[in-house]
Amino acid sequence: MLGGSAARSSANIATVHPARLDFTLAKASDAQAVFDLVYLHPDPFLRAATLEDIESWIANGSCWIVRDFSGNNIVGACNIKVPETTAGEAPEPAEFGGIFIHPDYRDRGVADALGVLALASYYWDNDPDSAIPIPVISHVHVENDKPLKLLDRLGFEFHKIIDVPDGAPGFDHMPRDEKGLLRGKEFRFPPDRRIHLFREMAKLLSTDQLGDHGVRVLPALGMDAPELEQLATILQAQQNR
Amino acid sequence: MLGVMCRSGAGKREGAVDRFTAFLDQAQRADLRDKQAFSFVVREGLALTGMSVRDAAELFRTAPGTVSRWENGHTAPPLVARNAVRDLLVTRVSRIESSLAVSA
Repeated sequence: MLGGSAARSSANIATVHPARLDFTLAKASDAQAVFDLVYLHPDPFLRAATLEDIESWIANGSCWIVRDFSGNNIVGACNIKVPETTAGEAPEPAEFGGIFIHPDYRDRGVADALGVLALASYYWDNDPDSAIPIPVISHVHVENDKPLKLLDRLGFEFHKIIDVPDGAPGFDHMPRDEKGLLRGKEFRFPPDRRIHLFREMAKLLSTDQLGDHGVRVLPALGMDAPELEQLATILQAQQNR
Repeated sequence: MLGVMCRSGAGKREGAVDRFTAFLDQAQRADLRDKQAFSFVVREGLALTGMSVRDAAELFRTAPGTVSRWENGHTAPPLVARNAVRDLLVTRVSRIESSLAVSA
């Protein structure tokens, strides 16, 4: 979540809105279109990544996208990095990398729906009814206020200020303070927020319309609205104990 | 995987078939409510099919890091998804087992 929340892309995307948007997981062949969406715009907090960086997002994380079905263009992207683990070592938290929406598709609920899909799919796949799930965190430069509203809407809570170590990916180009230090804010997705998240995801799976767009959502394997409602009920009961 | 499938000699091939057959039997009878049973199915299923965690992540619509968490028994999805993962692996392993059995 190091950059701005949206992209002013010069990609050639139709301004007449399509009949349907597909929400799905990106494949390797989507890398160039995601790159065009995310990086062809000026944002001082967004590092000038390469196509190889985007390919790495897709290969090593879960990069959820919104595809304009009629034009076959990618108009939204949300990346969550899930570090690989080894036996006997505690897994590291997952890192929410932000949401990027093409300007023509903003203010229509697309960003929120994409964020819900990405986060719900992560928690679905990783002990969804655990009282202490492996968390999702997000880091934002202390002077970058743009992503804060989105993080708040999705349910992230401010956790702490961190000193970013030299060489940390994504921060190397960012402004330093008077002592030459890079400072970042760490946000965490609170476990209790999954109740709301799963219910929002159930709603998303139960609808075929988002604003004036038709939608089709291809979520994590096996996910459906009744299972999500059941999980939300289990978590609610845990919270009430 | 290649070590399992490509060793020369009928005896070794039959041994490989046995491993596939044993997996199919164990996977189909596994109580996937047990997270470690699910972990075994993922770990052994990936080994027998030769799939990397990236290949598996694409098949299971998740992140490679999540697949490695499943393999190592750190996390698991809900039962409905565990069953779906098991079914996908069993289908792939069955195909390989059939081709091995014919060639043996």
